[in-house]
Amino acid sequence: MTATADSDAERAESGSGPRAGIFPALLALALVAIMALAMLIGPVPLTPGEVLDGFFAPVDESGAIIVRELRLPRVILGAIVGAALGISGAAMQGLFQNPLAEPGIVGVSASASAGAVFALYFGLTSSIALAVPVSAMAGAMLGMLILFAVAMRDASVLTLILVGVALNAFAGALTALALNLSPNPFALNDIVLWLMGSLTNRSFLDVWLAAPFVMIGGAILFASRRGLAALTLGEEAARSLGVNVRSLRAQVIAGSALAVGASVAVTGAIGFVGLVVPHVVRPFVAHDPARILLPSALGGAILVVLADIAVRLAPGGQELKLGVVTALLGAPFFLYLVIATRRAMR
Amino acid sequence: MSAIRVTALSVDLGHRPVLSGIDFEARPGEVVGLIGPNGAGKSTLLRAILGLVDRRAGKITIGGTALESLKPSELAKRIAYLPQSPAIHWPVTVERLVALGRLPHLDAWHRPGADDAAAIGRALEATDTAGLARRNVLTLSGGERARVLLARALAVEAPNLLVDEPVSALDPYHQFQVMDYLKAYARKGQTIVVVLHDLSLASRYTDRLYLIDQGRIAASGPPGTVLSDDNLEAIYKVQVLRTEGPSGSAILPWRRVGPESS
Repeated sequence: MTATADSDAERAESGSGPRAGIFPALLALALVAIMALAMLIGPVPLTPGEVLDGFFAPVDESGAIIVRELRLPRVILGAIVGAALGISGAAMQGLFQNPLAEPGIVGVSASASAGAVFALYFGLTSSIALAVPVSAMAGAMLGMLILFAVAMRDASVLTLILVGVALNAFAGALTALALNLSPNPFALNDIVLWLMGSLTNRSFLDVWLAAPFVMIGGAILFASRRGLAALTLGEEAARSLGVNVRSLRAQVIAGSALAVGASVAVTGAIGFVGLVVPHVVRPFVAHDPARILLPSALGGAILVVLADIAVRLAPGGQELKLGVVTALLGAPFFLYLVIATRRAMR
Repeated sequence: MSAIRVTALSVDLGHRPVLSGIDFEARPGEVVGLIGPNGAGKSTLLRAILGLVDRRAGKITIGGTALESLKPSELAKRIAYLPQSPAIHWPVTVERLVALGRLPHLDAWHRPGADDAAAIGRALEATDTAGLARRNVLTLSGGERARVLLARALAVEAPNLLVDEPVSALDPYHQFQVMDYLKAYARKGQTIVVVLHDLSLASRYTDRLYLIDQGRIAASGPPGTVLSDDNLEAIYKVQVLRTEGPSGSAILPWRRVGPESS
C-alpha cells in the first residue's frame, strides 16, 4: 500500500457514479474465474471439459463424484467462508474505527471453536453426524449472547473489546482444558487438526448448514454500512446524524457472530482473512467504511479459495491445513502492511 | 417562536451534577454564544440539546416539539452538530466526509440523489472547500480540516446548528473566516449556537451570550453586558484589557485575579 498506489486507487474510485460499481464487479468476475480454476485442481487434475462432463454425468461415475460431491462443495464452501470472514472483518474494523480489528476480536470465533472442541472431546461425532458444527454454532451464539448482555447496556467500545478479551481467554482455556484432559490420543488428534481449519472432505451438507447463517449475517452487516460510515466522524457526531450507535453495535456483533460462527462451525478457525482482506481492498474504495463491505466479502472469498488451491497443490503426504496456510501467508503480509502504513504516516 | 428552548435543565454525569436549572433559548436568525471557564458545562449543554446525555430534570423543545418525542432521524434533520475537534478515523476523501452530512436524509436502501449532491455542493461552496473535494482528509492542514468539518455539518442543511469550539485550533484569518460563515448562515434564518473561548470573537460575532459557570447560567444577554469587567473577574478570575471596535470589543485577558498574581 504505497502512497502512489493509494492515491491512484483513490483517483479511480473517489467518484460515486456508475464507476463506483466497477471494482466489486471486477472482484466478482475474478472470484468466478478462481472458483472455476479451483474445480480443475486436485489429486486428480481435470480439464475444463472433464469438469463440465462431471456436472452432467450419471451420479455413479468417478468424474461426477469428484466434480459434484468433492470439489464443488469444497469450492463453494471456501467462497462462503471467505466472504463471511472478509465482510465481518471489514465491519469490525469500521465499528471499532481501528484497522487492526478482526472478526475474532469479540471472541465469537473462539467461542465457536470451544463449542466444536466440546463435541470432539466427548466423541459426539460418532453418534450425531452434525455434532461438531451444531455444537460450534451453539458456542458462537452463547458468546454472542454474552456480548449482547454487555453491549446493549450502552457499554463503550472499550468494554466490548475487554469482554471480547475475556471471552477469547475463557474459550481458549476451555479448549486447552479439553486438550489437557483428552481421553485418548484420537480425540486429541481430532481436536488439534480441527482447530487448524480445513475444507477437506466437506460436503453440500456443510454448505447448506453454513450458507443461511452467512447470508443472513452478511445482510445484517451490509445494512449497517451507513452507520459504519458515520462512525468515521466519531460516535457523538454519528449519533447527531441519527445513527443509533447502540443498535449499530448490536447489528455488527449479531451479523458477524452469525456469519463467522457458522463459518468456524463447518471449517474450523481460519485466521487472518478477516484482518488482511479489508486492508487490501480499502484503497480501491477510497477508504470508505460503507463501500468496503461488499469488496471485502468478495476478496475474502477469493483469498480462501486461492489458499485452498495452494493446499491441494502442496506436495508431500501430510495434508496442509487451510488455517495454517492463511496464517503463514497472512501474518507476514500483515507485518508488511503495518510497516507500509507507518511509513506512509511519516 | 424559539428554535431551541431549554427550561430548568439539570444534567448529572456519573452522579456529579454538571448542569443545574439551565434556562436557555435560541431563535432563528441569531448567533448565540456559550462562554465560560473549562468544565463549566458548555459542551454538556450542547450534548443535552442533542439528546446525547440523559437529563435529570428539565424540558427541551426543538422548534416547539419536545425533544423526547422526536425520532433520532427526525432530530438529526433538525439539528446539525459539530463536536469539539472531532477525530477522523479513516482517510476518506473530503467529498465523502461532507456527504456524511446527508445521512439523516437517506433511508437505508436508497442511494443519495440530486438533492444530496446539491446540498454537498452548497456546503463545499460556503466553506470554500470545493477545491479540496478529492483530497484525503488526513492530508489537510488544520484550517482546511476545520472548514471541511464545518462543511460536513452544513451539508445537513438543518435549521439549527450547534458548534463546539470551531475555531480554537485555527489561525486568526481562519478564525474570522469560520465565524463569518456562521454569521452568514444565521442571517439566512438558521439558528447557530456556538461554544467559544475567545472573548473578542464572542463579543464581535454573537447576538446574545450565555456565560456559564459551574453548571449554572451566571449571566446572559447582549455581549456588551455579559462581557463586563465584573463578570469576567468573578467568573473567569482574570482581568482584561479592552479596546472598543466598530462591531464589538477586542478583549484581551491580561492577568489572573487573586493574591498570587503579579
